[in-house]
Amino acid sequence: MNMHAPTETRALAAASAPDAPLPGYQRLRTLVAAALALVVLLSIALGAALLPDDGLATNLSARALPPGADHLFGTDPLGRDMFTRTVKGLALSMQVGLLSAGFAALLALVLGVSAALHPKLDAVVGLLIDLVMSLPHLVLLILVSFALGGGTRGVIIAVIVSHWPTLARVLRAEMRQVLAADYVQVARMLGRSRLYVARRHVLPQLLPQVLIGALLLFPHAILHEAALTFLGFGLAPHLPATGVLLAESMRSLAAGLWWLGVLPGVCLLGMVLMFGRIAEGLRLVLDPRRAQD
Amino acid sequence: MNAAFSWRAFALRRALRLAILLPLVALCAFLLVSASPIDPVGALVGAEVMHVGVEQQAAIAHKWGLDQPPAERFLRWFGNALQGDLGRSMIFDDEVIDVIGERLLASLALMALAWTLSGLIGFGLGILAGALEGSLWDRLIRGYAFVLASAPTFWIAILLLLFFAVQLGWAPFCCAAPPGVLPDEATLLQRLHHIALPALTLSLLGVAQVTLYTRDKVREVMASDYALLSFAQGESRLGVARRHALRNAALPALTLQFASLSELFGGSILAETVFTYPGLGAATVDAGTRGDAPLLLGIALFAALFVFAGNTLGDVLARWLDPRHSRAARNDMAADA
Amino acid sequence: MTTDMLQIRDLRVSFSRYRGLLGRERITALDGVDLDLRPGELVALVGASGAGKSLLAHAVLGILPRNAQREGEIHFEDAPLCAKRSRALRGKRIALVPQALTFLDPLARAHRQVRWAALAARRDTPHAQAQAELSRFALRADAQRRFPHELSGGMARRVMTAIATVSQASLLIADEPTTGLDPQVRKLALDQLRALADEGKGVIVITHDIAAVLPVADRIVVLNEGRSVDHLPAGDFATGRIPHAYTASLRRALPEHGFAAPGTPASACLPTPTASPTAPTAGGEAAPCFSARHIRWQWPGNTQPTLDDAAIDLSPDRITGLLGASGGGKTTLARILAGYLKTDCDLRLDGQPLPTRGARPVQLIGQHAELGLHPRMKVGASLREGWQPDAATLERFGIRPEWLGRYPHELSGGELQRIAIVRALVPGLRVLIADELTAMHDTITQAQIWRALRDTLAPRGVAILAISHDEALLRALDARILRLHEGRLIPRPEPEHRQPAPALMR
Repeated sequence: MNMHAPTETRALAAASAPDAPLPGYQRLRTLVAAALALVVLLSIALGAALLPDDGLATNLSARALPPGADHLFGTDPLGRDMFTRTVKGLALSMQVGLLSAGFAALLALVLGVSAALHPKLDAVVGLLIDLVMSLPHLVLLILVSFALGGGTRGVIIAVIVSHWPTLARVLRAEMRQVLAADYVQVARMLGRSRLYVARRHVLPQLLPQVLIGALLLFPHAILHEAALTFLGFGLAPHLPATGVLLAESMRSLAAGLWWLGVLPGVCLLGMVLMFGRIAEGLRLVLDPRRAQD
Repeated sequence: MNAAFSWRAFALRRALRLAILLPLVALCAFLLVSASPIDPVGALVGAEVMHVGVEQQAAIAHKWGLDQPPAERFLRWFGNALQGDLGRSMIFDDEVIDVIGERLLASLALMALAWTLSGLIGFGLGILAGALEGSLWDRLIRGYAFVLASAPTFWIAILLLLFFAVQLGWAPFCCAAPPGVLPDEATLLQRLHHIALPALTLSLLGVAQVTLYTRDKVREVMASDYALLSFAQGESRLGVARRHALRNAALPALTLQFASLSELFGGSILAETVFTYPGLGAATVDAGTRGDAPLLLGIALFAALFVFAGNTLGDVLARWLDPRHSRAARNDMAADA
Repeated sequence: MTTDMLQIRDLRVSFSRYRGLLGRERITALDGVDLDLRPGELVALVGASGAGKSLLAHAVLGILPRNAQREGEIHFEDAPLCAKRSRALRGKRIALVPQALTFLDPLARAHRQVRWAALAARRDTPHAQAQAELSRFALRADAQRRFPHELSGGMARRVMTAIATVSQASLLIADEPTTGLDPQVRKLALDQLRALADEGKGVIVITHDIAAVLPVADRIVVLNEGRSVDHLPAGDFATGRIPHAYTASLRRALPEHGFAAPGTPASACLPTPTASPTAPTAGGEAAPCFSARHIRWQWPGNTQPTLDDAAIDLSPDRITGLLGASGGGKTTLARILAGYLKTDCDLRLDGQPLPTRGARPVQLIGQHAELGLHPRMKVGASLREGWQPDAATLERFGIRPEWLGRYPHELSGGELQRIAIVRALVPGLRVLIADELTAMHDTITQAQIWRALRDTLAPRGVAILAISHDEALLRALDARILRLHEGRLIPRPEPEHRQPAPALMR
């Protein structure tokens, strides 16, 4: 059992091969990137609220214009301004993502934690997780949103139902690990109450996991919302959702209206990448020790 | 320290799991489909619903067994399903099982191609990135994987379609065969021509996950004591990766690749829709949008089996290939002790 | 006099690491090490665990981690050993002796791994030479084809030595070759290293266990706080002719040589016999205060039970020692006695069942202190989970006040261990179970800690169960020694002239 003698020098050393280059101010870069991403996302939300709605109206005098000074992202065959539609679409995606990822994280927290508390609950939650995971995400999403007749509500519920298990698994494992940890046992043996253990030991370990987990669910939720909408099971066609925009762009592909598909997609991709950045920054702030350089 | 591993116990455990999961999946899927506000008769008759009388509607409902209580309908449907009778697809006017079989054949070619390509490329990139951690190569590969993992599948498909089919005209715009040619009569070359773009889309996306996962495993290996010994013997980072990381990362990557069949299935739904490729994925979307409950149920059941088979196969292969689990090694030990 | 093959002068290795979120700090691990080595010589580099000794090996081989910085000179065979030269020489002229199963690739057969070493050394026929080398160490052809997990402990040891020797390197470096080994295998490992030196190679053994390497070493280099403070022949250390003060106290602190802790006033070391409430009756044992019966434990998947109806009594008048190799079930027993593992055994304190709430009278100090401290709590807060120790107690166990404001990862394993010890000394303590308490420490710290424990606990009448792989330590504690055999505890015969260890334990 005494095999761990050299661990301390190893703890000092970065866990990687020798002669790998040491990245310079990586942590600072991560934090700056996260802050920038946050600013951009907030300005998208703000911009969507401030942009006038007349960009969404059909304007037959400005049909299918390529990107230019008047229309940054061009216009579609109905003369609608693609920039306005894209920004509003992104904001809509964020709303849907926020709602569904938030609720999915909440569900994961409740189920994951209760699973770790009692073996019977664990069996039930385990079966639920297996059940959800036994179908491909998209098939489950289609089934749920089919059952609810599509629409925004259907998409949100479908995303919640299909996305909680991954985080629930992580939280269940973390809970189990903390509860079985030596430091919890020691505290109990030193006469500390269960409440003390929950407050001082479990909560500080679990909270960062929940926050980061929820933030990582976000991009998944947004991408799946877009996919579902694109397939016609999601948000209604009259909404400026990104999935709707991309589905419409398919019809004009052969006509060479490339900007209809490319630009909103790039923006969606950028938004998802930015959420990843924010999650990385948050992880660093919440747990600098685990976020190894 | 592990209890002796027995394949029989493993098979029994797996069978039991399937026996529990499959009926549950079936029940949930059935409840979901039954709860749908989409009127199956209306969806079936389509725009002609105005011209169909009430009696006729009732007759159609009776023909499909729609007038019976849900519990009874589920038991009858699931009982039939176990015997291979999944009912009739409304939109294809054919047995569901035949529709699935026919569509699966088209999808299978697509998925197998994408699965193999993404596995090989992803593993290779992962090894390279992990071995050269911190280098330009690593950053490029990681950036590529992150971008692909964050991009919507269908959008990548649209981009490829735009570039290769519209801009360059290299690839066909849709379908599994040239217009006017039945898929069965298309030549191998024609079929390959039509499958290339969807397969490329699917493999591009599959690459991201395997790459990032393999890279993590390789980093783990590169920080291990046995890698340290190799470094002390004068091996370069690539040398150590070739000697240790290849073999130690291959098994987990293989397991992951099998577990990713679920994602692959989801990806094929999107890719087939964009490329109008007549596979199982496109059929799923049709069944959903046009309210073909029996087909949707059948596909859900099949998808569950598909995912389960993938996971099981991955587990079996990992155990079988790993010398630490192999039976021969164990016997050898017992004889020696 | 033959010339030195290796000369190390003022070697310093420091790390840069993050402190807090963005701050950086430099940690100096080696702070001036000198070492000379001649062919045919075995030099032991001795220092406390976690003091960075391994870095010497990594520096010579040129495989320091990427965030480390090296200063000072290393000369190998009369030319400076720069990064480029060590890259060219490692694996050929300089070899690392793999010392644990973790140094073998779990997915490659034994023969193949030896062949890699031969290949690295540019031997002309690696395959045959690997085979010959393994045969030289009496490994049959079928054993050569085994995977590491299929090798017995002794076989693995021989494979690892073959990996080091097949290169025909002239300088061999072994890092902690004795950690976690049974006495027999430990002797085998050290004898093999000695044999290599006798063949004319230069061998450096890096270890924290000075007693183990004494019989095989020619010379000893003593490391204290990252500096090499003394160089002396091993014979001189054994006989006690030691001019240097630190080395002398290191020797005096050895369990075999008086177990003396420097710096403590003599009066503090010597508890008055009357202080113990249950004074030992002449020749007999006092009534036990803690008894455990019918202890059974079997790990799932094991064919043999680890503990099979074992029984143990602990009394405050004499330390009970539990001796045994690693993996033998000692820790399992400790965790059962302390209530960490629940079983149906019968645990009694003064004839009464143990309380199940409040601070328990039976406390366990585990082997890995870092696991017992919450990673996100400052150690001061963790310490106060037990009780509020006064400054004198902290000082007695060598805890500096500023440590209390730090997080566990900012302290060393030895420092954390002291925190864990003091935390366990709650007011109602009756039984203390110490599992490999001082395995991580150098001998001086070991003596200091045990003395402080004794000083604190003897007047309070606390029974102690000391678990260790080190028989000399248990003897120095004048412990009644038990051994685990087939799931039961059997007493080990007392030495013929048992002296009631006047210096420490009475």
